[in-house]
Amino acid sequence: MTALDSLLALLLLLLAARCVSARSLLQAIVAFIVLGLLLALSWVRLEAPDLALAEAAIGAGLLGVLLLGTWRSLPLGHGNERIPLPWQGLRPALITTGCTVLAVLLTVALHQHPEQAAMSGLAALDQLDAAGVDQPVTAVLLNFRAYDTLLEMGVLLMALIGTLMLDSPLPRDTELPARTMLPATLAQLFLPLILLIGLYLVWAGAYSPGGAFQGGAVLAGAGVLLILTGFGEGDGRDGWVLRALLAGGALVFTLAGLLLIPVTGAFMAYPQGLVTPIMVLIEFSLALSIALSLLLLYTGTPGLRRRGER
Amino acid sequence: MTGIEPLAVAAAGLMGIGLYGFCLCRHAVRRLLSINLFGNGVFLALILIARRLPDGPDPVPHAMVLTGIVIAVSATAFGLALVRRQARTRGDDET
Repeated sequence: MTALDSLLALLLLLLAARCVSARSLLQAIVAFIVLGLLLALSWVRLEAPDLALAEAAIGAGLLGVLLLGTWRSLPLGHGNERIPLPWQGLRPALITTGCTVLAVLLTVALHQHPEQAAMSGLAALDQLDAAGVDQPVTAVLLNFRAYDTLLEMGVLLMALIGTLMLDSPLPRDTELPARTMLPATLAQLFLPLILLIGLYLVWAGAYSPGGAFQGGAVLAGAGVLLILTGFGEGDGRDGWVLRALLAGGALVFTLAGLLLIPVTGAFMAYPQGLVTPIMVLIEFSLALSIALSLLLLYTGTPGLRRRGER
Repeated sequence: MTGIEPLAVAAAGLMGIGLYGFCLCRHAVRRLLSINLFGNGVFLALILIARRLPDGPDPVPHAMVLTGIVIAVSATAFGLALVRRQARTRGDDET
């Protein structure tokens, strides 16, 4: 099976080179999206199906939508540039040498195997029974290393707030250009399926590949489809419901950690009997927050509404 | 295990190409693309490292990659908002 791995590696490198060297920005973006999908494929082969799902949904899908949306809002021809080839001048030659040396050293480093196995991974696999979920990655994310995930939600919220602050000078009554490029049938056909897959992925995160991030990204994708087919659009106003849902993931996570301190004696430690329901509650609130944050990052507006509503 | 792991070469190559693009591209969106190429290389390397555990892939690097993907997208989305804002401000100045 190394033949397939070699082919994937070759394609990844070619696409990366294309992404950097393409003259047109659009071509560079498309190369990047295809690279993300192939990367997901290679991760399936490396026994990381949940990461492949996340990369395909978030790294290639939503980031691709964001990149293409930005490309569309730039003046035509903006960002088209030809970068110098390695042999065209001293600076490119030096940079090429440095990058090649880095790549060679990294390849060598990745082929070396340390004597001692990673202890944290072994410890996580050993104590999987205490985590309340059967899927090791979900257990690490929501239980063993819950701090990381909580702070990650903070970063996502900060990015959203920053984006909204930057986009806010758009006057409130501006007519956003019609975004209807896709036939409405597309949404009617695929939306129920997408919602089903998204919710299933969140639920499945407890015992098989899936989880809040993958499911949330798929749900955000459903929202993007609604906007592209003209059913919904960004709104200049937001309501408290939306704000509560956006902050919900981080809030539920923090509260669950804080309220149980008297019982367990530590922040973000969960009592044995309650651990599974708490995990599921946290997972669903996280998924909703992630889906809405990603969708609002796409629209660049603080709120959402049905098309035509005022 | 002997021989060269092709995907390890791809991970190192992605980092190298990403750094090259980051050093030489002038447009902000292209630089963001280059950083993301570099990041994708790092993710691939972490996933390769996760396979060193004897019984099943190591969940800790996997969780790090999952966190990393979301952080990378958040940061890139913020960067893209800056680019859009800059383009709009320039457009307003010209008209």
